[in-house]
Amino acid sequence: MRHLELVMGIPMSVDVRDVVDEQVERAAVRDAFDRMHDADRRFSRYLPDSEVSRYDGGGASSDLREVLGIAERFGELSGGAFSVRRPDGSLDTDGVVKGWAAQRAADTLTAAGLTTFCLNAGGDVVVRGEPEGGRGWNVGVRDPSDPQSFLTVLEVRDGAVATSGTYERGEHVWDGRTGQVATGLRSATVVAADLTTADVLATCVLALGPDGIAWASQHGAAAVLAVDADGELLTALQAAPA
Amino acid sequence: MTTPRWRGTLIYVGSLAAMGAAGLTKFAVLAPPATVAESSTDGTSSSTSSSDDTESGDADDSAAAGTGQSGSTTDPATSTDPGSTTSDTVTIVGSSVQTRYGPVQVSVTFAAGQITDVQALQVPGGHHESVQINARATPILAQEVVDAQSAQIDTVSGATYTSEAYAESVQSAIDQQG
Repeated sequence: MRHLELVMGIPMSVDVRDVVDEQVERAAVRDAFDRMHDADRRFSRYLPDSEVSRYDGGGASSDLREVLGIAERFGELSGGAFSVRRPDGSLDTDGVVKGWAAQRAADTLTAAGLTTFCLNAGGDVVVRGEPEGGRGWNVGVRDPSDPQSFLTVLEVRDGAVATSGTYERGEHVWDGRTGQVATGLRSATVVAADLTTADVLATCVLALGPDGIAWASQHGAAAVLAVDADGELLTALQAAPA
Repeated sequence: MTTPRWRGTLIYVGSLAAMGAAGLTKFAVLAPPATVAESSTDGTSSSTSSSDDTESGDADDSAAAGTGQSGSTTDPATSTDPGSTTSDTVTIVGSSVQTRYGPVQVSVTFAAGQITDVQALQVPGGHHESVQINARATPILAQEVVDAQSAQIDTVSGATYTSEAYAESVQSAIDQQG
């Protein structure tokens, strides 16, 4: 079963390969998408009465506290490069919420008993199980300078892949240390155990620039793949456990 | 003419697969596909930057050509045998799919139940970056939908919003046809 739906204008799709009762599957997928729509409404900067728009530093829901907690942790780890405060001071949780919400949606599929699926939230991916016996999910990583080709194809089981880049949304990631837009990298792709981590790390790498590649591999990234401003491909793998 | 609904999914997957085939072909020159745990740094030594090619700018014209919003202008064109399902040629306009950068809309031409052509009626033009992207992406995507082949890529990280919206518009045209 494959289901595609726009969430705030971003196409999100789920490809479920489990052989289970169709009603169970549909209910699980519906629930997963409802959670993403819900997160979008609550954390949108574009909706004036969303939780994020109304947040004044005072009381916050447990979800918003969780999101801000993730932001704070990676802000500290990255030496301030990652920040949910835009240069103008306004709160922008997009760098955390997309991956976090998609990971939660994937978790609802898992909780419903699904074991073999791929959830793609606008290019950020969570996979579980194997689509065919003996092989993982083949995740193509888009070449930032050429939409018809891939930098590589990653075979992933039970993991997440997130890509942040300037090639599509423009230079939308800023370096929290300087307030300047990040221009050192065209794209950064991070593979990690969960999409919350992969997505935040991909944004961190873009904000940090080339120095962020090795950094991310020490902070939860299984693999990092980035293209610098000159088009050079840079990679790092997590050091093998001692 | 009856077109099973699953064809929409196949075409959609196929369009990604065509991207995959292109990617794999390119990648095969560099190194075998990597598994994350093992060897995904195989391609380290190679720059993957590709210079702008001659397609730059081509799609802008077609993008501006049609901004009609009607969801279903069915246009039986060159049918020689109106009663037959094997020789009809019809063009279906897909739904206009909103992206953050503007609407994406395509028309799909079917002949004998097969997709023979895909035209972009609308692609986002208001955003500087997306103009640059779409000028190159749209003609390539059209070819991919027509040439959809094997399914070696399951999904794409970093895929454009617009290319997914494009696939969705194609799918809506297929659904209308079905």
